[in-house]
Amino acid sequence: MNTACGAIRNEGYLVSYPNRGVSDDARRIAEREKEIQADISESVTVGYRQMSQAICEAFEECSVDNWDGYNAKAIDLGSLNEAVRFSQMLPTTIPAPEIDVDADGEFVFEWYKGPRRVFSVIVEGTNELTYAGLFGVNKTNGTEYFGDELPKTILDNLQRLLS
Amino acid sequence: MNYLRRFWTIFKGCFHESPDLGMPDVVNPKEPLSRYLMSRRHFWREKKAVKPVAFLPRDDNLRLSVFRIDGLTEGEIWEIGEEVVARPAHRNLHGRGDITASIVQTQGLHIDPDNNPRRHADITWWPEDKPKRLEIAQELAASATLILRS
Repeated sequence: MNTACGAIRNEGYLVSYPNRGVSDDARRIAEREKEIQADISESVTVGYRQMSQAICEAFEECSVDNWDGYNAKAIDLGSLNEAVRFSQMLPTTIPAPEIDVDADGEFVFEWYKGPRRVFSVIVEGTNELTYAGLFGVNKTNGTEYFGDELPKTILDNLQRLLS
Repeated sequence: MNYLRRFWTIFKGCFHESPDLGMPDVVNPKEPLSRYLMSRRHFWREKKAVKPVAFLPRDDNLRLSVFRIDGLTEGEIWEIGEEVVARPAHRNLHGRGDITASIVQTQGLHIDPDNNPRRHADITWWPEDKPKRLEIAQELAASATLILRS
């Protein structure tokens, strides 16, 4: 008998890693993992469905140029793909962010705790995340490569905001 | 002599008024500025706050459009927003974010009052570095007052 057991990782449950196993057990575990992910993606509590809806709504509203009245660009499809991936990688311990779009048509994930307690991440669609945060009198900004996992700097800043 | 000339230009600008508006050519740090909001994505109604994205200019045009509202009544401020900003853009005007010029200036930005259309100014001198721009947009949003159109 085999049991699928998820490792405790600092990222979302919807992140999949390649399963290189060829045995029946490996195949069964991969199937079980897909079932779990399907369950979680529908979960209201975890927030993935909420984020997916917010991404869809933003796409509908901002898919034409000048959606803000100031000549903003329509949503960039590269940013859209990365926004979906980014949302799936967020740990379930992090509250769902506000999802917005900037004047360049790029998705912006925003966690707001007050006027001077805010952290924003711009998903540019170029495997690069631009971030900035205000933590009272302290502030930070930078860019991080966005590969197969969420950059630690982003997670650390989120912990700082939410702690 | 150059610095004296420069000082005189700035000094004179403080008192020289545009003929039709009575607005000085140089923006006083205490002057209020309005950023009109035509997308619901640019503010939080429940939190009564303007979002940082409302103050983030486009990468390829580092200018942020604002209006100088000093001396105007509320009705006149909304009239500018409606007639000059929202209607030509075929958008609904939802509200505005008001900030004082000093907040902009302390971020190292410049206010360029081109007066085209009337009372219009652009916030310029944005850094090339996008993360820094995002941080400045957060600072401006943190200091802004959200005023919704009733």
